[in-house]
Amino acid sequence: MEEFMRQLEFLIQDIPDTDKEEALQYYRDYLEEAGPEREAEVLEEFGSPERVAAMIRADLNGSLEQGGEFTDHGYEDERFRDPNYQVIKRYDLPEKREASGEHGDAGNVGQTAYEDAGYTHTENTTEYGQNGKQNGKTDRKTRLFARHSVGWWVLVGLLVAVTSPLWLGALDLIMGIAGIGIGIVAGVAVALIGGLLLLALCTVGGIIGCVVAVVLGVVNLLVHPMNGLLFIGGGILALGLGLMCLVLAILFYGRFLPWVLRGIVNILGRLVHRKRRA
Amino acid sequence: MVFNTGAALLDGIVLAAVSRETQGTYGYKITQDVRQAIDISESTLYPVLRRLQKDQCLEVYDLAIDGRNRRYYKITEAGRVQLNMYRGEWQNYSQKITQIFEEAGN
Repeated sequence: MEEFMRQLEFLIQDIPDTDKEEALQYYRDYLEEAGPEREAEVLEEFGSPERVAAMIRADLNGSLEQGGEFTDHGYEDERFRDPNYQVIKRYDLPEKREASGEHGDAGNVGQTAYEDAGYTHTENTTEYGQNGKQNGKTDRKTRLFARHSVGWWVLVGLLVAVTSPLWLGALDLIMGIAGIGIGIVAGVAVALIGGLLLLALCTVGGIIGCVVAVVLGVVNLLVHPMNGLLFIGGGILALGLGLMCLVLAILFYGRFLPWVLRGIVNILGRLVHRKRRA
Repeated sequence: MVFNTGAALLDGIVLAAVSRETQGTYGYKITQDVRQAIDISESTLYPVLRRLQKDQCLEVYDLAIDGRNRRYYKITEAGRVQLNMYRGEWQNYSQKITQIFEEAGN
C-alpha cells in the first residue's frame, strides 16, 4: 500500500496541489477502509499506479465527464475509441483483462452505434469527432507522462544531473592522482638526473652544478616554457641538493679536510718529532 | 452483465447509494454498495464522485477518525432533485422494457 501510494504521488506530482491531495486522500482512505485482509485484492483491481494516475488526469482534463459508461467490461469512454485514434488504452479496466478486452471491443462496435443513437448520448454525437480527436491527443500526452519507463528515465536523468558534481569531482580526483603520480615519477627522474649530474658536478664543484642547472632551466624557459619550468624546478631541487652538498662540502672541506690535514700534519709532526727524538 | 450502464444511470445509482446514509458515507462504502447492483472496479468511483461533487449533487466534509481526516460524501438538495429525476426516468424506461419483454412471443 505504501509503495502504491508513493508511486501514485510521484506520478501525479505535477497536477494542482488541491486536486493531488484530494485524489491521494481518496485512495489512501479507500485502502485503509478495505483493511489489511482486502488490501491485496483492492490493489490488484486498482491496477498499476500508472493506470490510476491516468484516470485522475483524464478526470482533470474533463474527458471522463461526458460519454463515459459502464459495460459488462467496466467503465468505458467511447470517445477514446475514435477511428482517428487507433491505439486506445482503457484506463479504467483492470489491466489483466486488457488482452481479452481488445476482442470484446471489436464485438461491441455494433452495440456502441446503437447506444450512441440512444438518448443518453444524443448530446455528444454532434461534437463526437472533434472531441474524440482532442481527447486522443491529451490522452496520448497523459499516457506519455504516466509511462513507467519514461518516469524512470527522467529519474535517472535527474540523478545523473544532480550527482554530476560528484562524477566530475571523481574525474578531477582521478586526474589529480594521475598528475601527482606523473609528478612524482618526473620529480624522481629529475632528482635522479639532477642528483647524478649534481654528484658528478659536486665532484668538480657543488655550487657550480646548481648554477648550471638553473641556467639550463632559464635557457629552456625561453624555448619550451613547460620544459623550462620543469628544469627550473629540477634546478631548484638541485640547488637544494647543491646547498646540502655545499654544507657537506663546507663540512668536508672546512672540518673533515682540515681534520684530515691536521691528522696528517700531526702524524707527520710525530714522525718528525720521533725523528727528532730519535 | 450483458447490458451496458450509461453515465446517467451510474450517477443515479451512486446518488441513491449516498442518499441512504443520512450522516454521509465514504468512498469505500459507496463502492461496495454500488457493487451490489452493478459490476464496477474498485478504482472507478473517484472520477464519478468528483464529477457529482463539482455538479453540486454531493457535498463533502472531513471527519476525524482515529486521529486523521476521512472524507465523507453527503447528498445535497440539488442531488436529491437529480436523483428523483433519474428515478422517474428509470421507472418509465424499465417499465416499458419489462412490458415489451413480457409481451414477447415464445
